Amino acid sequence: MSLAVRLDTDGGEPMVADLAVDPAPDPRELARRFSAGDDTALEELYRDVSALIHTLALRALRNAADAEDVTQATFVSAWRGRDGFDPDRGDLRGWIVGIAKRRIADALDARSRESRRLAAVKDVAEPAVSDREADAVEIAYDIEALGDPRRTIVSLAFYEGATHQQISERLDMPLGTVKSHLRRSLMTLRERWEVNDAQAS
Amino acid sequence: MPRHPEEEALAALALGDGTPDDAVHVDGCSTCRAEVDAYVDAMARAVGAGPVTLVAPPARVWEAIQDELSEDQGSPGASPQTVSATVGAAPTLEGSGSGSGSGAGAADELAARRARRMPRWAFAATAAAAGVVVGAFGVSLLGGAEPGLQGTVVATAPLAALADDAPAGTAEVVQREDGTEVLVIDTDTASVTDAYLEVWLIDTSVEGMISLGPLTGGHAELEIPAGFDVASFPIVDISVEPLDGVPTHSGDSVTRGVLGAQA
Repeated sequence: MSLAVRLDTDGGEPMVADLAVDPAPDPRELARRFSAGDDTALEELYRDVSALIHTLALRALRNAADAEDVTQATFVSAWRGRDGFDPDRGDLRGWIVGIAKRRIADALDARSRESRRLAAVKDVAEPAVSDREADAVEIAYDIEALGDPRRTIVSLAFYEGATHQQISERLDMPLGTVKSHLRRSLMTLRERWEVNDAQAS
Repeated sequence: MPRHPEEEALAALALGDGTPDDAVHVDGCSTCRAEVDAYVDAMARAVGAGPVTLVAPPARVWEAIQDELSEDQGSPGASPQTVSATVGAAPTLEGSGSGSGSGAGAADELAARRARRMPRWAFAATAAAAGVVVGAFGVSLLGGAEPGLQGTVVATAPLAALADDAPAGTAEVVQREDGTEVLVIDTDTASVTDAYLEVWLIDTSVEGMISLGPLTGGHAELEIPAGFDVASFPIVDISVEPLDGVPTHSGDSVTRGVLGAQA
């Protein structure tokens, strides 16, 4: 379900939206409970980021069953390896995305090892998740995480090229409110990505 | 120089929506210009990424996580509801012939099949995985960090390509010490693009069949559900399955063999 498509769904909310509609748990509080072994934290983390991780895996592996396996393995590894996560030093989402990327690499390695055993296989093109693709998925997650109406306004403005006036009319929302939501959204996104970049470097 | 505009006013400038006074200020203030540039960069990052569809995993993935972790102490266990739901799906496995798998039964079969699948790379990824019991059939992983299969070969089948009858490897049924059986496939059946290979056991009337799961390489070790009699389903079949989510056999078989008792 793309951002754009969701705008047309007034009634039955798709599954993706159901997950995304959940208000994101307070990250620090969630990280602390996860680290302490509170198993409800694992479920909350799953509700928050499973679509992000599954999408990363899908785009890298281009195979639904393999993507499900990676998603499963990622959360299992994260829970079993929670002692390796320091809630005071890093953010939980970045940490589990790192695990997911390693699981994706494992899956691609296994695939290429198996492919090499098949003499008949020709030109095995190994798909991989590029940094650029992974970025795009994380950006989509961040826009989702803005919650409504901001994610709707942002996707209209950024991806459909709608003017502020058009958004105002389409959502039946005062122009000033549309502009305010856009400003606050941009501030949130910038802050989020500066945190990410600081951790990545 | 007048005081710096608020952050929100700088974000407004980046969005092409700032006041003329703020714009004049930013022109003469490198600090604020850097702020506006940062907002422009953030906007460009979002726009440049393009809209991406986030795809939530199906519910069975969470169930499988719970199942897998229920083996650990002090971790989220599989709820009784989850377990009984999986067990309830088991009877549909044997009865699902080609074309009969529609509606809830087919979905259940798929869920049961997926729920107990373990990725092969999990062996290397989690050394702790040795002996983990997965799913409702008491299916256990083969080996640990070093995958190796201990047991007795009870049936074998030479595999042949259906297109030209050329030899295409072997299939063996290995019975482990605990009585469970595993179908071991070694084949040079070529991998496919925009589709995947799936391994089936089929009965002699070619009506009843069971999927043992996808074939992702030249070698596969596929668990045969406990109580399943290979003698009644002796045909080993490898099919090309389109990526359409339909759990039944596509009808497009590429490789076959018939299991015979090991002398």
